[in-house]
Amino acid sequence: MAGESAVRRGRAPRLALRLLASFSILSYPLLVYFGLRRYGLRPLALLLLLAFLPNLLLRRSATRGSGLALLAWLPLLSALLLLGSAYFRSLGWMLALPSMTNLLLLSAFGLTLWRGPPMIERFARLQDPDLDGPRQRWCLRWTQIWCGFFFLNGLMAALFALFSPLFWWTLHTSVLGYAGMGALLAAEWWMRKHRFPPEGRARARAFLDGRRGEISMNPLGLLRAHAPDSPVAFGAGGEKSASDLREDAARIAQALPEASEGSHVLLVLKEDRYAMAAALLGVWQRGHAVALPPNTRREAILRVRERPEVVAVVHDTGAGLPLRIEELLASPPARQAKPASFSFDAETPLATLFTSASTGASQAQGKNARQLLGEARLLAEHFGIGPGARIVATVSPLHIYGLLFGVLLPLCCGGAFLRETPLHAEAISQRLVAHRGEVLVTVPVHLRALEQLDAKSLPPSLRRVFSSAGPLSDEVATRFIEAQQVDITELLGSTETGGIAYRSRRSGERWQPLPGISVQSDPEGHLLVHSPFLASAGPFRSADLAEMYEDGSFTHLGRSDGIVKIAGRRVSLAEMEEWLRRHPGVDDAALLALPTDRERGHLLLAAISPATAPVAELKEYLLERFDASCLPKRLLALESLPREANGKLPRQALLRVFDLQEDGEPLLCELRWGERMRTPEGYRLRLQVPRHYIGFEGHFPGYPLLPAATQLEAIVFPATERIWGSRARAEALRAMQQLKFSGRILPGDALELRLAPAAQQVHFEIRKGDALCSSGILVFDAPLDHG
Amino acid sequence: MSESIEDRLKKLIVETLALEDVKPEEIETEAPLFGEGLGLDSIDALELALALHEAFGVKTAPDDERNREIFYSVKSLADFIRESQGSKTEP
Repeated sequence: MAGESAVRRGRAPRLALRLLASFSILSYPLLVYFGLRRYGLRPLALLLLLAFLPNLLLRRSATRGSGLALLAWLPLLSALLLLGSAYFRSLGWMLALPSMTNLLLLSAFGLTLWRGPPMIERFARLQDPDLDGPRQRWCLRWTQIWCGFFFLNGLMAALFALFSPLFWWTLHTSVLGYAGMGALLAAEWWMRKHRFPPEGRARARAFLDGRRGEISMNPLGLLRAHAPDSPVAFGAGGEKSASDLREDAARIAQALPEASEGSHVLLVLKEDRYAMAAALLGVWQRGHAVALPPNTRREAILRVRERPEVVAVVHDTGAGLPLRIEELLASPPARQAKPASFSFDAETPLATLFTSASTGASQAQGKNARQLLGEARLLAEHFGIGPGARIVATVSPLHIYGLLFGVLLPLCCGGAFLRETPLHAEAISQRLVAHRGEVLVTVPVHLRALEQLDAKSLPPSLRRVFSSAGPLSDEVATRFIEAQQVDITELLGSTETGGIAYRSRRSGERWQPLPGISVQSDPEGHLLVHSPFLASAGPFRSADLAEMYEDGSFTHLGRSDGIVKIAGRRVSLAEMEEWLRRHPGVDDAALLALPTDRERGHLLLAAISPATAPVAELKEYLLERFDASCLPKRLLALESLPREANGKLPRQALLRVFDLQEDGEPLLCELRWGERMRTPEGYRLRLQVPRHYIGFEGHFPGYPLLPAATQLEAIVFPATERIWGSRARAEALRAMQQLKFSGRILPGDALELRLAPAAQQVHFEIRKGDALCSSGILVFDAPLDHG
Repeated sequence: MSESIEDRLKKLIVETLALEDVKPEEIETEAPLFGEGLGLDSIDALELALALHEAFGVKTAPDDERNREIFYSVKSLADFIRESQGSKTEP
């Protein structure tokens, strides 16, 4: 949305441009009529071209309206016609503009009839996102009427231009055409007033403004943008329609106990997103809120289940608990033919999400209808996701991002979602192709897998990719966008605030606040979020650190608390440390989080005492409560931790425990390879050893140098294999001769690797400038060809 | 000095997933990699898939059900690699 900030920066000059632009368009026929007598054809064409300059300048910002993108070509088209008129000395070119304008409008409106939703419906949804079936049909009809009008109006203008005196053309295009358009607009406006009652508009606005109060809506109003037979879900389990979903929700509702003040139903549904949607609606219909566990580990689920407000569990686990989802969905249909419709207002609590908190305890975050459904709608509108959109999510619907984008957004906007959650790159692209997916809701690690394993295989139907829950590296983003020709929209948010900001990877680093949300930073650099979707009125002080810009955008500088993100999941270091200390074999525990360049995010290392702590057993123990991806990669048992007298354990001391130093740079897992040159002897390859390279870790305490084995594994063999293929990989090695490791390789070194092949041998040298660091001869099983 | 695919896989698993406290030879060939056993998770599976592609030039299946079988153990992974490489014509 670069255009938006541009508007904000220079409002006054832009307004003047816009007035000029409108004037030149509206008065075009009169300018032609009178100008022709006064100036003659050629000078007039050039003068008009000048008058159209403001239109050309405004071109970019005019494209923002959805569906009207075609009109952005109008200024360019006018300029071409005027140039043509001047060049060929032909009046016809000049007179063609009104017809062409009508043709463009006809195409813009006509395309929406074909692709949906119809243009008038798009306009109507700006006023009231809740469009039911009859009003949708009304919008369709009016879009068709407008198409007819543009066709006739354009045809008339063309006929007058070709076969009548200039006077009649001018009268038609400057007076009659606009009069017809005005009459049609008045008719539509008058009818719309009756079809779209003002309370609908006020309600929509209240939702957008996040105002509390008179917002009443049916819980199944969620499905109002769907016709009864519109699909809501597709995938391996078969397609399901909106009416299937209503019936299944009613089935689930009737199996649940009666609701009481604040009662919750715990949902542990990992397999089928459709089952999740049916359970959400069923629980809400019965009058409960849903409780969602922080993860699907046994201990985490038990902790939520033990809470007094949780009255039932709907699950798809193998556990022998009551209310298995398969049984509920297979039960006979609910007794009432139509599910009871009752309203709940914006403040009705709908969900409690449990997340890790920096204090160590898991934190409950309540969400009401305004927060969950209002946000889902706003997101759908803002990102232009409407009826019929097909959404594929690779993230679990138990977390806020997956819940909002993978389930609630499609239910609110008339779209449909993939039922299963594909994991591997090939599985994701297969689903997108097979089901003509349009929107992909995913996380950085999946984008990396897609980019590397399956380049160019995503279908052309894919038009938007969302990524959240962790940093997406520039490298992956650039390559993905290039290969797939689709932008990535990154989202920043949290369970407490919902979505905060977004950025398009094509247009740069800065985050733009989502609509309705504004951000500031406080003196310590914390992001202060003002949002209609917050639980309380005041701004939320987030743990994110940000640098603000004048136009309201910002750059993100990381987090300030003990929460780190690992593989997209929030992990509280305090919580994990506390859990470790609770183990009978552990006295003390401290965690170190190191940022890495991998999509996983941070890497955790744990120091525990005493030295005899049962390290192997602790891993199992951690798995009771934490996801496997969040476990420390190293558990180091020490006699005692280097705590200070006041009990504090400074980060520097902890870093020393693991033989690490910190300079603020992330820990890098890859060497940086530079250019590769052919020489008479063989090859020369340049490479850079990152200052914070993982290969330095822990081999020689306090003294970072690259061990001999790492030099072979990380530098020499990858290079020989890249050049000569599988015949030259480490596993095809018969012998190594004359190995010498004479010079030290240190962090930040720029190196050159020289390779000289001879039959089945390769002589290698690693050099730092003129100094030889290491050398040797590798003998492979088979002869190498010369690459 | 040629290693078996199983041994290469074990090394690859330890390196790719930065399993600091596990030695390649400690990984049992037929033991499950995910869930119990090493306790790897879905993100690990993705990273492993990338490493396998790089090291062996193989790609996972378009069907996650099949992928779950492939990624069950070192043995199932090795069988899958042999099968995919056997079907390719080596230059």
